[in-house]
Amino acid sequence: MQDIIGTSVFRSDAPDKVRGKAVYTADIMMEGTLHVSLARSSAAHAVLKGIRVPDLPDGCFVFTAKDLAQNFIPSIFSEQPVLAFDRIRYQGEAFAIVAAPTKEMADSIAASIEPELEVLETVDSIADALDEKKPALFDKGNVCSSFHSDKGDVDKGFAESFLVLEGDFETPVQIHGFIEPEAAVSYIDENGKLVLVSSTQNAFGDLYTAAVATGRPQSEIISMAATVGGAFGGKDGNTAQVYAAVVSHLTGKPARFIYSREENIRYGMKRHKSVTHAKVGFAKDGRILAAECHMLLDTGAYALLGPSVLNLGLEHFSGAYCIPNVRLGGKLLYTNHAPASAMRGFGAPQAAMAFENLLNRAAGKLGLDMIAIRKLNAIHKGQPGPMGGINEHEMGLEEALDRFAESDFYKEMTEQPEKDCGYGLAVGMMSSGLGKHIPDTCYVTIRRKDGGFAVRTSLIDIGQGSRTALTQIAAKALDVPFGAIDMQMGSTVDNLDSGSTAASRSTFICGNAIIEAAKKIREGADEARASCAFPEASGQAIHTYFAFIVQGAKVKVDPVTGKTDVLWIHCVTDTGRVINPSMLDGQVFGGVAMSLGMTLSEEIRYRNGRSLENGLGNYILPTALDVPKLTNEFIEKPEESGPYGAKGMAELPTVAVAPAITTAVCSLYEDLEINTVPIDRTAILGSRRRT
Amino acid sequence: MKNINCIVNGEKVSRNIPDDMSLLTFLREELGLTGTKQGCGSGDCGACTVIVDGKSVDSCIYPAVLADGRDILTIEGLEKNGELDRIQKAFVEHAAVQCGFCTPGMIMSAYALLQDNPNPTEDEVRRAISGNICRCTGYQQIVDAVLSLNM
Ligand code: FES
Ligand code: FES
Repeated sequence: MQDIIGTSVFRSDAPDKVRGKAVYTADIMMEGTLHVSLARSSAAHAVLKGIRVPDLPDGCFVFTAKDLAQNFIPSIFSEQPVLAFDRIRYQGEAFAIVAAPTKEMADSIAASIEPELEVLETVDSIADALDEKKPALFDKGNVCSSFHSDKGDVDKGFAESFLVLEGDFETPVQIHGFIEPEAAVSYIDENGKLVLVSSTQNAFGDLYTAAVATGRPQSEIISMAATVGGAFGGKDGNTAQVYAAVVSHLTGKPARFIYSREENIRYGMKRHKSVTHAKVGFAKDGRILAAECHMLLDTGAYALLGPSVLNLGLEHFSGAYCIPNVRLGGKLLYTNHAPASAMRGFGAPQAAMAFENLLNRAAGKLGLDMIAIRKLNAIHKGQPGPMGGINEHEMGLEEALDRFAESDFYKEMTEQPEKDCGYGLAVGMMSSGLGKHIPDTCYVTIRRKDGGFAVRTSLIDIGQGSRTALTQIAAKALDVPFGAIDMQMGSTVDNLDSGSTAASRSTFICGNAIIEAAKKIREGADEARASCAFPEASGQAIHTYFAFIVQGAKVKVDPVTGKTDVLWIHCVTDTGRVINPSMLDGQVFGGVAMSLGMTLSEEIRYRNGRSLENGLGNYILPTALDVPKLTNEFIEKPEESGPYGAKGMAELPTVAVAPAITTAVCSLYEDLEINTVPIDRTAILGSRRRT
Repeated sequence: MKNINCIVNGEKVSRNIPDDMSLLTFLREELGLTGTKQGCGSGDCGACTVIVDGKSVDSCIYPAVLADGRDILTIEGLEKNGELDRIQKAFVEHAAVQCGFCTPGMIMSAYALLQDNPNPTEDEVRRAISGNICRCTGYQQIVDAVLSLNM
């Protein structure tokens, strides 16, 4: 029998999705539903002195902070209120929940609720946040968190360097851009329990948030994911969920809250804008002697997962290379912008934009090719990472570079470049797992049932295909056909809390838990539960496992308009053993397209705290005409501790696309250096084209 | 309120509807055909694509009253006797589906293309689906799926 691991089995959820039968949150329609809208602040920064609620028609409700049992959303700092009560910190922050029999009524009531505001000066940029004269969002000031790490003797490393390059790099506020907007429905079931069904990455997280806000015991709440129409980090935490839950709790009626696209773009979570100063020192032969990074991130009005994003971004800055002297520092800053939080790549794309561009510039100046300089410095198992901890697990960067050097892409790039085309490449590294000091355990239950097995976990298939990959692992572990596994995911019922579906952790951690539980079943148990915890990183390191990708871009630049067209992106991935090759390709292609968007067109621009973008007509997501031919190969270097040798990879392909493209564009010009994305085409036009 | 009579997925339908109702709301809320999705409500994402008299339209900005007397095909109408249509099959087999939220609209755009042009080039496929945004797939496997249907 063919090994199911490594086989491109068709996704088990695809037939229902192509039929239009898969049930997403907004497809759940219940009799007597109350539609939810939020009264949102028009000011970005203000003291909230009171709220005037107009007379309400029968059957309509308005709830404010005083109707909540507790008013905070659990997160790293838990400083975000469910409803603003004394202060407004971003434009669109909610201060009242409206529930009405139709969405139109709810919207119009929400618009008629008047907040009494004393408007404050807006903290509208990273520079504002650092400016002592600007108002502080919180008593502790506008520095939300900071990070510092020093390894070796960085100053000495730079002093001994033959070539030192530095630069200031910027990446934009980006939205996740899932096509299904944030959504939640809720109701009280026949046992009096509050049932919350939503588009989410974390069913237990939603349950805890709802329990805090409503005051219900956790045992009186059931939370589950419907089919999730994309998430990418932007549904990790509260979006619509708590508001629907509060309405059902206080009225006893079903409630439904679906974000409009404008709410999604303006008030949904974001990727952090970054401003990074980077400096790298090289020996004459190309060895990197020292690296330094200072990263500033705009987390908006609340921290959410921002502190972890900052730490991960810095850890990944130079992490793909073995460098003796590394200094990392940075600040996460509060501004009057909608909160940024997790987004696929989690700080790593921002860091790679800086490091990989400098590395390619150094290769040019030292007369080395872009593969050679990377092979010379590539990190290997057993070597210390940027903060000193030893990398104890497989690292396939060198093999990936070798494979890339044999690819058709690289041959074209080096031997037969097409006329007027530019080429570039870059390397991305991505950890999996939540990181040190964060509980990171997954629980799985396997139960025998007629003709097969039910496998249960609270982790969620958010569209990435974990249901299928985990079914493959379960089929292998139990030695049964794929079809004998009933994979049940995404509910708090009869499950222990396995945390968020995030950090590229599902395949690894849930896969291992499945294998453990399957052992007990094969020993004869009818039902077995097992858990797996992520091993902690050694030394100062934050993460334990890393996957790698080499990404090459081929571009054309219109000499008249300066517009960049990307013609081909080729990737080589190292993610341990591959469970499902076509699904791996799909993850790679999707991640590439997302970062291509960040490089060319996607950006939220704030003016006095208000975003200029309010729809998909002016926030430009890449279409099939913008995304070129995408190809992917993988090397397989199995990770012994992973499920059948696999490592996590869902975020990896977002990491190095921007520097690959900017390098390709710059290769067409004599003196052009691009440090900011999205690429400003007018900046290109002033440069002299190579002939 | 207006009365409209139309054919949806081969069946006659008659309803009284508010003048300002969109075809998308009509399909989802009046007829319970929730396979057609709303991603933006403003004609920018294509998730709501259905076929009206052989042409693909964004049903979120198409007034339902204009559907009077017309023939409408939605994702639910593609399957015949429990068998997936060949486009649906190709999407499954080419891993062209991830979260699936863009999928019904994407398939309807592919359907409209293949009706007019049974042997499209890659460029024609990309153009035909350029009004359908997919955030998950990077489009490659969707394009592969549609091209696999060339005769
Ligand atoms: S929902 Fe109709 S185009 Fe987006
Ligand atoms: S599959 Fe998720 S948007 Fe296309």
